[in-house]
Amino acid sequence: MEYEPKVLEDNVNVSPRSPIKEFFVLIGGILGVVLAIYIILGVIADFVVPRLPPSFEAKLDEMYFNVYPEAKQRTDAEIYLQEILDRLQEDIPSGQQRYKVHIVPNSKANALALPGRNIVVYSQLLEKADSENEIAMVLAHEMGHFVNRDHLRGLGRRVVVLSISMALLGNDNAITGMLKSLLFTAEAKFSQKQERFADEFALHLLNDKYGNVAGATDFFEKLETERKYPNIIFFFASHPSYQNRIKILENLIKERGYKIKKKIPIDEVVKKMSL
Amino acid sequence: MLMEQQLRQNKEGIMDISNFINLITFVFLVALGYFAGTIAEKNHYKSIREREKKFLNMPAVTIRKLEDESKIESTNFVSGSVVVSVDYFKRILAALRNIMGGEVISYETLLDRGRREAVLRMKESAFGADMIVNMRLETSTISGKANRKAVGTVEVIAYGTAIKMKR
Repeated sequence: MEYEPKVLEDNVNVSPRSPIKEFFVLIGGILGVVLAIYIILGVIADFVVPRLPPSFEAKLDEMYFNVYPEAKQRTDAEIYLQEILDRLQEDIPSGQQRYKVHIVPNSKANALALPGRNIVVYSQLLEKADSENEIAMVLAHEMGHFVNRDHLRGLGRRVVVLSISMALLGNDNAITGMLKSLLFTAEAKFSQKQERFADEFALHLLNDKYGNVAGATDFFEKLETERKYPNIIFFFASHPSYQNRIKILENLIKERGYKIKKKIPIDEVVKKMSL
Repeated sequence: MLMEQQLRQNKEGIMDISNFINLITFVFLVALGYFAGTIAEKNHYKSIREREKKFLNMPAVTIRKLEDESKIESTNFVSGSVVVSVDYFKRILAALRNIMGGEVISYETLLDRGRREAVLRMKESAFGADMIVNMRLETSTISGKANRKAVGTVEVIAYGTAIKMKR
C-alpha cells in the first residue's frame, strides 16, 4: 500500500480543552484553598485573642511601654493631649497600665495605636483640629483599638497571611503578587470592621465623659473634603470610607439619642507647636 | 522604633493604593496576554498549515541510510530553528498548574508550533531537494533569569540531511 502524505486537520499534540476555562478553575481552586485557610486561622485568632489573660497582655505591653524615652521633655501640647486622654481613661482601675499620648511631626493627619498603650498623634491632625471634642474622639478611637486588642489580632493575621504566601508559593512567582494583593484586600475588610468597632467605642466614651457627642464626626468630615482618591479605593483600604463612617456615626447618635451641645474650643498650645 | 512605626504606617497608606494598582495591572496583563496570544497563535497555525500543504511532497524522515545510495546525486546539511514564547496568560496558567500538577496544556501549543515551524524552516532551507533523511528535533529553553524555573521561551531546532536524487 502506497503512503499518501496529507495534512492532518486536527492536532493530536494539543489538548482540545479550553485554556480559559482551565485558568478559572485553577485560580478559583487555589484562591478557595488559601482563603479558607486564611479565614479559619483568622477565626482562631479572633477566638484566642479576647481570651488571652490580661497578664499576658500586660507582659506584652511592658515590652513596649518604655520604647518612648521618658527623659524626653513633654511638650505643652502633649501635656494638653494627655489631660484629655486622662479624662477619657479615668475609669481604668489604678492597677492597670495607663494610656500615654505622643505627638510626632508628620504631614499626614492621622493617629495610631502602638503596643504598650501608646497613642501617637501626628502633628498635622492637631493643625486641623478645631475643638477639644474632636481630639477626644480621635484619642477614644485609638483606645477602642486597645480595648478590642486589635494590635494583637492584626499581628496574628499578618503572620498568617505572610506564612501562607511564603509556604505555598515562594517569592519568585507572579501569582504570589496577585495572591498577596487579594489577601491584603481580604485583611483590609477585617480591618474595616475593627475601625467601625473603634468608632462606636469612641462615640460611647465621648458621650460618657463629655455628656454629649459634639465634634464626633468633625475629623472625618474634614478628611472627606480633602479626599484625593475616588471612593472605590476604599474597597481595598484598611479603613472604611469617611462618608461611610460619618453615616454610621450619625445613625448611632440618632439611635441612642445622644445630644450635641457646644464644642469646647481647642487650647491654643497645640497650634503653637514648633515643628 | 518610633521612626520604624511611622515609616510602616506611611507605607501602609501607600500599600492600599499600590495593592489596587497591582491587581489592576495583573488583570490587565493577563487579559492582554490572552487576546494578543490567541490572535498570534491563530495566525501562526494558519501559516503553518498552509506551508505544510506546500511541502507535502518533501518527506522529512528519521531513517539514517537509503537502501540504494547509488541513486543519490548530492547531499547537504539543512537546519531550521525557531524561538517562540508563550503569552502572559499562558505563563500564569502554567504557574497555576505547577501548584496543582497535571497536564500543562498551555505549553502544548507552544511546543507544537515550535516543532512544526522548525521543520518547515528546515524544509524551506532544503530548497530543490527531494527528501530529508536522518532528521532530528531538539528543544531547549531560553529564559531571561538563569535561576528562575519559568519556562516561557523555547528554541526548537530541526536538522537533517537533504538529498537530491538522480533523474
